[in-house]
Amino acid sequence: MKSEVLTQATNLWPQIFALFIFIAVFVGACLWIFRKNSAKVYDEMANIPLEKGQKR
Amino acid sequence: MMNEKSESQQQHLETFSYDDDVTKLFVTATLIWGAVAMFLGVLVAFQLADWRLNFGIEWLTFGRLRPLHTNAAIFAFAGNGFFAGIYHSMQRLLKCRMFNDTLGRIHFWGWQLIIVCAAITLPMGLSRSKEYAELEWPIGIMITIVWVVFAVNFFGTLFKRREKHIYVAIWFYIATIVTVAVLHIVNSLAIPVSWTKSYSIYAGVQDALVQWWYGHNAVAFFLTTPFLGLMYYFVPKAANRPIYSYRLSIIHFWSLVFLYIWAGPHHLLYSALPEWVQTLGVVFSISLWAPSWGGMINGLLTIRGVWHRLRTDHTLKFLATALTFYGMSTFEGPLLSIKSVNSLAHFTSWIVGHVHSGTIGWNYFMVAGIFYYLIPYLWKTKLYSQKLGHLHFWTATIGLLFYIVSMWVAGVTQGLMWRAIDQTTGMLVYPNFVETVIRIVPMYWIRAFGGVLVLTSFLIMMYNFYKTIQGAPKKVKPEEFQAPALHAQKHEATQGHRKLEGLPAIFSVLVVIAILVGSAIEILPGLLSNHFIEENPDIKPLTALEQAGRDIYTREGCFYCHSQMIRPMPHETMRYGKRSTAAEYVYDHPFQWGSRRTGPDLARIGGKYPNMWHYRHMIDPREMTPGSIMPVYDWLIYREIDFEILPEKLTALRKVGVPYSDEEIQNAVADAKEQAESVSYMLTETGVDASIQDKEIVALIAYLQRLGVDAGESTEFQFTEENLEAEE
Ligand code: HEC
Repeated sequence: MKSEVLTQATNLWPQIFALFIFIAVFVGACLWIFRKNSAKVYDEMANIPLEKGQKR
Repeated sequence: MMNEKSESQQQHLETFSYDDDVTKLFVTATLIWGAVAMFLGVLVAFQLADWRLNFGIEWLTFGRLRPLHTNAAIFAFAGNGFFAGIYHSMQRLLKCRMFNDTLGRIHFWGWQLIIVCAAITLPMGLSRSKEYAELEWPIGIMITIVWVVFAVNFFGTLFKRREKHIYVAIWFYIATIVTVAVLHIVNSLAIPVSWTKSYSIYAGVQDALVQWWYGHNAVAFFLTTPFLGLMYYFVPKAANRPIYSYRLSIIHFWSLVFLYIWAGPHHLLYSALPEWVQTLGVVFSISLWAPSWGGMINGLLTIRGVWHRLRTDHTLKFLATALTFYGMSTFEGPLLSIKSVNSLAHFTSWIVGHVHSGTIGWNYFMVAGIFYYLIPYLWKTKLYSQKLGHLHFWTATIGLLFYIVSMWVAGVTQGLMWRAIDQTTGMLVYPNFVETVIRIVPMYWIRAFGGVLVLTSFLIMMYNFYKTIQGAPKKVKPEEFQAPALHAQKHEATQGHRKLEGLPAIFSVLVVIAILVGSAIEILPGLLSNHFIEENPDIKPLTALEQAGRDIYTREGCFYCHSQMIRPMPHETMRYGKRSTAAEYVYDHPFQWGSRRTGPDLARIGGKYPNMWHYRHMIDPREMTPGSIMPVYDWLIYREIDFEILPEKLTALRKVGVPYSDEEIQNAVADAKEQAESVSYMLTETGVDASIQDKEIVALIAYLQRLGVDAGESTEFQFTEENLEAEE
């Protein structure tokens, strides 16, 4: 089995495919996170720790 | 923010208060256990500098106290510390009281009970002999139950929250809770022999793989993610400004959670683990550098603009320093994962230094920073002494630097000495292992001194907090807050990640998927298929007596100082014999490869010395090896072997796959007694009392003499009976 796996190592396509998926997901996530008009939402969220809730 | 809400919502305002008492409980426990953990650390540090410091008491020997120190530091100190921080911050971030106060108390007292059990059982030698997972199965089950109680309370609070968005800190808490549950359960699977003894269901390479998948991710999901969550709450709070980049925090979270789970095999480089698993571990460890530094930069940049407050504000000062040490250790970690660096650093003190720059520099400093904020806040008072705060900071920092630097020096020195081969003769320059030990003993002293400073700093902090709490007003009415209920809030069209955060269940599932992908690809092939282990028919299970000896080996924690894994490098094979192969470990439940070579590797110790050598070495190591720092194990010559339990032990081992026959199990007691007689024959010959026959030392010697024998030819210098006779 070890040698089976090692023979796979010469087959580059699965590796390139895996690399491609990783990069695609990462780039996709970044594009989405930096999408337009999202600034307001993120500001809102970033401020949650600083809110106190309304005191009585 | 709130006053912007419309009239109609004002009517739906709900009034509530926070459960701060549970946080106070956890704060108190953190301070107590922190002192205990650090005291134990200092004690074992001194024991390596001077072997006498266990005072000849078996409960205080290095092999039994080291696991207590690590468990106390990780689960008692850091654990209670982040529980305090989580209970405080999540209530505020979600604008609601904890789901159930009683569950919080059960969580608290259950956790303390577990720690007390650990403090009793570990010095007694009741140990599963797997690092950071030493606690025997009944305690393991308690941990599971208490963790579930915590999870129910946590998710219950999420469901009744009044804040729609789930702030990034909470995601880190979610990742912690689900991942630790998975890790703990998978790594704890074992077959019990009795209430106090069990055998891991995994053997050898598989056990190693599961153990370090667990071990590394304990660092990741017990010492890192909860603290990052706390960082995302307390740094903005202390700096009084929002996190530098919320977007970066999203990238930080997902890449960290996804990458971390793969990194475990970097603990097993050059071992008998399949090559491709090692390579995956290296690749992901190096990738981890990016999200780790992303998080650190995000935290540090939040403090920009208020740097001047670092001089006066203890919270900010400790948090900023913690982030700096976090950056340092997450740089060092990937560095140590590079195979060529690892070949030098593995098994040396360098790793010990690395671990402490993380646990002291990151975890302790985070806890300190958070508590400088939390304690005055919770007890509604002011810090007792600013000056003591400064003193605390500097003693801790300087102590830690002593620690890290001495361990770097010791690690690199010993690593280089091990591998030094004379150019002209082609022989090891330091063939005598103990030479490399004696050389670094001064560094052990300096490390212990650094440890004393760190412990002192902790005591200063405790005193300061004690005085603070003492001076606090006695009865304060709990503060009340108001916020609209979640269902009463205007629902904007939610989309994308925000929708995701709004659905904790789905979010948790995604986290589970993220961690399971790596785990499955890396671990399952090794678990499900034995094809990775080339078989060797010469490898046979241990005899009953040898198994009894192995159980003594695990009880005494010999593996904290001795490895059983010879790496494929010239200097290792010259020193210890031919490289270890996966096949040699197929019956090892649990595996005992070790992580630090304070003493030499023992994988092929069998046959290297006569029985008498071991007998005298265990009673007084310095008689056989002058300059040795190994503890004395003289109780082994008084304590009797438990023969009667052997059939049960072999039966349990058979259940996990060791092929003992019915006969072997039935005759276990008689066989063991017979072997004990022949082992002790060589001892009684030279004058040892015949009563030694049924003493534990005989079983241990039988085990040691078996190590590596099945795999054939061990070392070059063989002191077997025949050799000795031939000499005469
Ligand atoms: C504090 C660390 C420490 C612990 C714990 C420890 N040892 Fe050692 N051991 C050493 C050191 C250092 C040496 C090398 C010097 C010497 O030979 O004593 C050594 C040497 C040995 C040797 C000789 C190896 C050789 O190749 O010469 C054996 C065998 C041994 N130890 C067995 C044990 C057993 C069994 C236990 C558990 C009961 C144990 N050790 C626990 C530190 C330790």
